[in-house]
Amino acid sequence: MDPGLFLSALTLQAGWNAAIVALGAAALGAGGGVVGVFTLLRKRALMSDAISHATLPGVALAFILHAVLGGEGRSLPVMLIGAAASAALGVLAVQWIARRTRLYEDAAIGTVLSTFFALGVVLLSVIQQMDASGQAGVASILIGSTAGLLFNDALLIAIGALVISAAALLLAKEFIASAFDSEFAQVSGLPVARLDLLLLVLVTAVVVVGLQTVGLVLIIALTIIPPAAARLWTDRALAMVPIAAAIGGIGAYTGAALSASGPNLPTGSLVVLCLFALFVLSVLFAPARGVIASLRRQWVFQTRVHERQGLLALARREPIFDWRTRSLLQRRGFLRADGSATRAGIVAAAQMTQDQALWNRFRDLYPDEAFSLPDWSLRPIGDVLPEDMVRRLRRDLTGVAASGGGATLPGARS
Amino acid sequence: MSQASLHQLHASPVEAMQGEARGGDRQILNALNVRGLTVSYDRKPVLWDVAMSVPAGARMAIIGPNGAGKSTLLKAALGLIPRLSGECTLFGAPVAKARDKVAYVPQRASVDWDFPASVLDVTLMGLQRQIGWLRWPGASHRAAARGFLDQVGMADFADRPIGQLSGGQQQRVFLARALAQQAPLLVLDEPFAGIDAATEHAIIDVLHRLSQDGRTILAVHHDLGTASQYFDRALLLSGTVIAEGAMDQVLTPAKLQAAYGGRLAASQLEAFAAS
Repeated sequence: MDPGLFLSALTLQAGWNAAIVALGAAALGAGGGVVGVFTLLRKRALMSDAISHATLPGVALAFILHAVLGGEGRSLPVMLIGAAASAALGVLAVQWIARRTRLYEDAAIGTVLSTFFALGVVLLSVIQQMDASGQAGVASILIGSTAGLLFNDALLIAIGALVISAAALLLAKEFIASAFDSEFAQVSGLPVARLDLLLLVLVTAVVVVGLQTVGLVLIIALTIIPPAAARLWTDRALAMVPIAAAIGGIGAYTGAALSASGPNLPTGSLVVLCLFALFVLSVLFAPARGVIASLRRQWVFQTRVHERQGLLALARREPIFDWRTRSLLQRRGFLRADGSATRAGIVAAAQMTQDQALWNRFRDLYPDEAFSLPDWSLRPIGDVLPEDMVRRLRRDLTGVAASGGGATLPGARS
Repeated sequence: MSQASLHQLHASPVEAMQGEARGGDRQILNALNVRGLTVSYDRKPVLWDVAMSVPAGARMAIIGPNGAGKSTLLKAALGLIPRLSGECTLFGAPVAKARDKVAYVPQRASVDWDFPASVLDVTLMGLQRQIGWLRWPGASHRAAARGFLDQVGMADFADRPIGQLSGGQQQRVFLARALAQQAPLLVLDEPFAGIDAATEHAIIDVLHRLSQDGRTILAVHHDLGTASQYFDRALLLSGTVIAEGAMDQVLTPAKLQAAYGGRLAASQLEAFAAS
C-alpha cells in the first residue's frame, strides 16, 4: 500500500476512475446502511446473509449462459440479473422451509445459504475449465474487487444504491411500525406481509448492486455493521437511518480508497475492516449506549447513591465515615470539615428524607413495579413516576401518619 | 343448494336484519360478531366452534383459565392469525374491510421494549390512518398524540425512550396508542396483567369515559374478583364457549366450575354463590 496514493484516492485526486469507484462505494455503503436499519429492527439481519450467498449460482449460470450464447467476456448487467434471480429463489426456499417444517428461520437460512453457495462454487469450477474470457472477473465477486470496475459499472452501482435508499426512506415510517409491533401495524391497516417482502427485495437489491465491489461473502457487513453501530448512537429508530447511512458511506468510501492505493488489495475486506473500525469507535464513544458513556453514567449513579445515603444519614444525625460521601457532601456545601451539617445540608437532608419516604411507600405498595424501575429511589420521585401516582403516595403517606399506619390502597399487593 | 341460500343459512342475525332493513323492531348492531370460529395450532384445536356477539356499547370481558384460547380468540377475530373456519364481522362488515373500526391493545410482553422509539413515537403509530401512507406526522398529529398521552397520565413522558418505562407505564402507552386509533370498538388483551394499582385505576377511568362515549369495549380479563366491577357482559371460554351473557348470569359457580374444573378454589366459588 502506498500512503501517498491512499491520500490522493481519499481526496479524489487519484484519477477519474478511482474517484468514481470511491463515490460508487460510498453510495453503496450508505444504501446498505439505510436498508440494514429496517432489517435489523425487524430482527431479520441474517436474511441478507442467505440472500448474498444465494446469488452465487445465479451469477455463475448467467456467465455460462452468456458465454455459450456467444457473448463477449463478462457482462455486469447479465451477471446481476442472474444474481437477483437466484437470490429470489433462495429467499423463497428459506420461507418455504420455515413455513412447511417446524424449523426456525435461522436453521432454514443456514441450510439454504450453504447449499446455494456450494452449488455456486461447483459452477465456478466449471467456468474455470471453460474457454471463455473474463473468468477472473467472475471469481472476484467472492471477495470483491474494484480493479476491473468500469465507469459505467460504478455509475450503475451509485444510481442503484440511491434508488434503493430512496425507496426505503419513503416507507421508513411503515417499516418501523411493522418492526416494532407487527400485529398492531396490521390492525392499523398496514400490509405487514407485503412490507416484509418489499424489505427483502430491497436487501436483495443492495446485495446484487454491491456484489462486484464488496463481494458476496462480506456484503452482509454493509447491512449489519452500520445499523448496529447506529443503534449505539441513538434511541430513536428514525435517527438511526442517517447515522447508519453516514457510517456505511464513510466506511465503504475509505475502504475503496484504501484498495485503490495498491495493486491486488481486496476491496471487500478493506471496506469491512473500515466499517469495523467505525463500529469500535461507536462502541467506545457513542453517547446513548457507548462504553465510555455508560461508565460516566455509572459514575453519576454512584454519586447519586452517595449523596442520597449521605443526606439520609445526616437527617438521622449519624456520623458519615465513607470518604467519598463525605467529600461529596462537603463539595455540595452540605457538610463542614468537622463533620457537622450546614444549614443547607439540614434542609436538603429533610427533603431527601421526605422523598425517600415516598419511595419506600411506593416499594411497599408495588414491589414488582419498584423492582422493575431502574430509577427506584435514585432520583426525586416526581421525576420518575407520574404525577397522579406521586399525589396518591403523598395522600397515602399522610393517611398512614394520621391513622398510625395500616392504611393501604385498594387493590394494592402486600 | 345454491350459494345464495347457503349464505342466508349461515348469515348472522345482524346480517339477516340488515338484509331486511325495513322498520319493525330494530335490533342493535353488534360491534363484533363471531360465528363458528375454529382455530388450531398444528392440528390441535385451540378454539372449537366459538360464537360470540359483542353488542355495540357493551363492556365485555372474555374470561377463562390459562390456555382457554382467550388471546387466540381476539387475534383470530381481528384476522391476525389464520382461522380454520368461521366468520367474523365488525359492525356488520368483514373484518378485513373494517379495520378502521377497531383499536387494539396487545399484550405488553408481545413487543421488544428495547426498541429505539420514544413514547410519542409509539403513540403516533396509532395515528397511521390519519397520517397516511408515505407521509410524516405533522405538528397537528404530534399535538393529538400528546393529548392521548395526557388522557392516560403520560404527557410528561412523551420524549422518554420506551426502554425506560415500567410495566404500568408501558401499558398506559399502549392504551394511548389505541386511543389514537379513535375506533368505535376497543379490544384489549390482558390490560391489567402485571401492572400497579394506580395504572389499573387510570385505565379503568379511561375505559369508563369511552364507554360513556358509546364506544364498545372487549377485553381479555384474568381477575374474576374485579370482572363484574369493570365489565357488564362476559364470555366464559375454555376452548369452547361455556357461557355468554350478562355478567351475573355467566359468573355462576356451576359455569365457573365447568370452565375452570378443579383449578378454582372452593372458596372462590363460594364467593360467587354468595353474591
